[in-house]
Order: sequence, then structure tokens, then C-alpha cells
Amino acid sequence: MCDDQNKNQKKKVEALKQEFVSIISHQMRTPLSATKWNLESLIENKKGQELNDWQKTKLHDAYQSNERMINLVEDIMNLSQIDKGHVQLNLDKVDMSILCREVAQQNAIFAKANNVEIKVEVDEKTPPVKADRNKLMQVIDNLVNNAIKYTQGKGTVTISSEFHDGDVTFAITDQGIGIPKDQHDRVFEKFFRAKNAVSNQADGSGLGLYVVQKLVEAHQGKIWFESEPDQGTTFYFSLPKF
Amino acid sequence: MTKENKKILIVEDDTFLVKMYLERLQDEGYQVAVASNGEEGLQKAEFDKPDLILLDMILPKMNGFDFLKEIKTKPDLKDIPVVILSNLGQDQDVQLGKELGAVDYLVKTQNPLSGVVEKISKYLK
Repeated sequence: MCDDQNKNQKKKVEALKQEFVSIISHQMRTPLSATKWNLESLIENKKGQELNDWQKTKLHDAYQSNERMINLVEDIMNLSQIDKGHVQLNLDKVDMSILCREVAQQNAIFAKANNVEIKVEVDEKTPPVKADRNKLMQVIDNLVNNAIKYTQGKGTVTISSEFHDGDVTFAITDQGIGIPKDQHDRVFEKFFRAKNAVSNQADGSGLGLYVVQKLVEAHQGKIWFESEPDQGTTFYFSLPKF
Repeated sequence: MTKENKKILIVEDDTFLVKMYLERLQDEGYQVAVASNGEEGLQKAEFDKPDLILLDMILPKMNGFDFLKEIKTKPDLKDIPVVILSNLGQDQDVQLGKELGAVDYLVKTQNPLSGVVEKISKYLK
């Protein structure tokens, strides 16, 4: 087979792969959202009799598993764009105090089930950023979700912001298990999972932080972290002001 | 106007989701009508003159984008706020939905139902 034929064949396979990922992901979102909302209604329990602790735990576990699946589908969809080498951004002026509150609301049930309080210290004075709102939401959601997941026992997850020289920096701080020092270099690798995360049986695909880094970079932003084992981790990312 | 007088038209073909929206929105005190495809959605919009339309995008007969284009050509319907609630969440879809005049574009898995209800009540104020 000549080179041109080979290239065409590869292109066709790649296009089919993209289409497959896209269709499957869209199709999966419907039952996942139906499950999410039904479980949410049961957990809110506006109508029913008071649930016992065992029932509440089971519902929270089911909700958490479903959220894990949702995050995985979102990561796979982002990954297919990243692997294409082109993350398409729909840039707009984004009010971060609203966005951070929405992420906190989105993670409220998950946080409560893990005895974690989410504090949002991003207020209206924080300058808006130029970003793709949905993608940025996925970035913060991923970081907040990790922060909750890696907190053991009671804890607080704080979302805060600072503004310097045209850039706005956001920080997501937890009081969790931290990342071992010898693994700091590998945190943003695709499929990487820190050994203490695996030994603590925290769920995860190892895709989240890889996707987060690529999405931040697609916004011309930077991402980094500070972490102390058994003390906690802070992930920072900075974006240009609008 | 109280919530009881506010009418919401849901255009959604997934019966499982419709059941859930109906229950939640009626519990919130809204009057709710349902259409299972874009064409039926247009007829019901003409007939019911809802205060808000909750619109899915992947629909039989007429998809959500064509539905939006259509209602924006009708003087008596064009000002009704349309909130898109869809699984189609690629950037180009969101951009097109907004360009066609939707007030919001929500991706189903990214929003708790309580958040969707909150947004609806905001646009109905």
C-alpha cells in the first residue's frame, strides 16, 4: 500500500473513531442525566417519608457512582478533541463568582456525602476572564471533585482567587491526603494515578488532570500545584483577564 | 403573576425525562405542556403561548435548531424565552443555539435538576 493510501486509511479510521466517541458519549448522557436527577430527587426527599441512614448511604453511593460515570464521559469527549490537537473554544466574558458557585452547587451532594464543606471565596470583585464557560466549568468541577474525593474524614474545600498584572489566578485548596513528593512530576500525565490515591481506593481514571491541564493551556493559561502529604493540596490556574 | 399562572412548554422526546420534568415543574407550581417533537412543539407553542420553552435539541421530525429558527420568525412567539436543555453540548452547538436566540444552553449531565429549576424561575421573573 502506498503512503497516500495509508494516510487516507488512517484519516478514515480517525474520523470513524471520533464519530463513534461522539455518538456514544451523547447517547450515554441521557440515561446518566435521568439517573442523576432521579437520585437527586430521592436524596432531596421533598415528598417521601424520612429515609434511614442505611438508605441515605446507599443513595449517596449510587449518586457518586453515577457522577463518576458522567465525569468519565465528559473527560472522554474532551480527550477526543485534545487528541485531535484542536480544542475548540467558544470564548466569552465569564463571571467567575457565578461560575464557582454553580460548581459548588453541582458538587453539593457529593461533598455532603463525604463530610466536606465547600467554601467559595470568589466574589463579584474578581475580574471576569476570557474563557469558554463550559470548558472552564469542567476544569473547576474536575479540581473540586478531586479535592472532595481525596479528603479523608471531615474537611473543607476552598475556591479562592487573586488578581495580578492582567491575570486572574484561582486556587482550589483541600485538606486531603496530598500527593507524594516523588510523584509531583507525573501528576498531569495521561492515566497517571498517585500511589496513595490508589491505596486509599479513591475512584479515578487518571484522565481528569490531564484533561484539565490541556483545557487550561488551550485558554493560554497556566496550571500548577502545591502539595504536602497528609496536609492537603492546592491546585492553581491562571487565566487572562477579560 | 404567580407561578400557577406561568406556563412552561417542554419539547422533549425522551418519555423518561419528560416524566421527571413534569413532576418537578408541577411540584414547583408551574403549568406544564409537553410536545415530543419539534413540529408538535410549534403547534403547542402557537396554541398555548407559554411563558417559557424548555427545548431539547435532538428531536424527531424537526430538531431543536430548526424549531428555534421557526419560532423566531413568528411575531407572537419570538419573544418567549427558550432554555435549551440538551445532551448535545459541543461548543459549536452551544454557539449556534445562542446565536439562534436561546436565552440559555444547559447540558443535561452538567446541571442538577434543582439548578435547572432555578434557571427557569430566573427567566420567568
